[in-house]
Amino acid sequence: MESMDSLTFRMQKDEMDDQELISRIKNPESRNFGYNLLIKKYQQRIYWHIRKMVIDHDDADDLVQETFIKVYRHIESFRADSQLFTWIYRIATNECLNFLKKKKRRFFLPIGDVEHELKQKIDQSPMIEGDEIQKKLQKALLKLPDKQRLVFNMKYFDEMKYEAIAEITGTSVGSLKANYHHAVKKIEEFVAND
Amino acid sequence: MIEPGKNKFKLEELKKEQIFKAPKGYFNDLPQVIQARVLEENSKRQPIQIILPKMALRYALPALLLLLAVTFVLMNDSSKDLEPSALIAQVDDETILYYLENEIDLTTNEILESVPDLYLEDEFGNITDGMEEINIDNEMLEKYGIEQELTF
Repeated sequence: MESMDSLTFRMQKDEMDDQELISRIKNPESRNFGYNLLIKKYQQRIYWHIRKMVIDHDDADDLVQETFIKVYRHIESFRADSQLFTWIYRIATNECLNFLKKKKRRFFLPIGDVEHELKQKIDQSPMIEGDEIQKKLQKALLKLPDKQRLVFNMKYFDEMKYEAIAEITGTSVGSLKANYHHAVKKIEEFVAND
Repeated sequence: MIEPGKNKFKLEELKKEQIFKAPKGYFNDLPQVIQARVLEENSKRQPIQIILPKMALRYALPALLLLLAVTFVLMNDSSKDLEPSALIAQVDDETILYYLENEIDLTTNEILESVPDLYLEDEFGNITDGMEEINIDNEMLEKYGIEQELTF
């Protein structure tokens, strides 16, 4: 199995820069090649970003595919005034939030049932490995509202800057800081009282 | 359970660790899986892209041309700007006479009612001007065989 520890978030030297990737994708002759390189460059970051939100691998797999298909469809409308990776993150984030919203709609008692289902997955899935305290942390995260959990994941696990998170979520840096601070307090309380 | 006040769990003291795993080789296969899906979607979309221009040519284009033609005719219709007198001037005299004789059934009074007094005065002057008031008694009327009811 592959873990996120093995992945580095820094751009590899052999990775093509975004501008070059985009121009290749926009050129019909090199489109498939450029798109393939783009997926290879961003697939892991996007997968782990989604996976932490939806917990289940199969769900994450579907959403990663949807994200990259949307990237392919809308690459012509991408403007260089934002970074490519924040644009892709934004698409992935929307996919996640919409997925979770739909999932909650399927249950008649929203938050509790989805949280219960995901907690069970944390306990039982063979593709989740970790000691008790790590699993407790993940279960505590499920008690947070989706958007707050999203901000927490990007800041705590992905170690992203607030400015980048602000661009992805469309929120101000100030409210993100407050949001993260509240999330940390809640999580510490949840874990301590569990 | 941790006692209240004693606590506490501190997030910063916890080692940061990712507990989620992906199946082996997953990231090697993912680009091909996604590209296969993109190709599949493209092939599904293609017929629609071909049909649309054909439909546009077959139905929308003639309709558009017709609309343009109608608009052009209406915009260039000079007759709508003409005065009624100018329109009548375009009709020849014979047609007008024929119309007046055969198509219109108006009495002299009706014609006079429809013509403004001012117009009559301008053309003919006041027809009563210069006339003295005449008093005609009944005997005189009987003399000339005119019934009394006919009064002016």
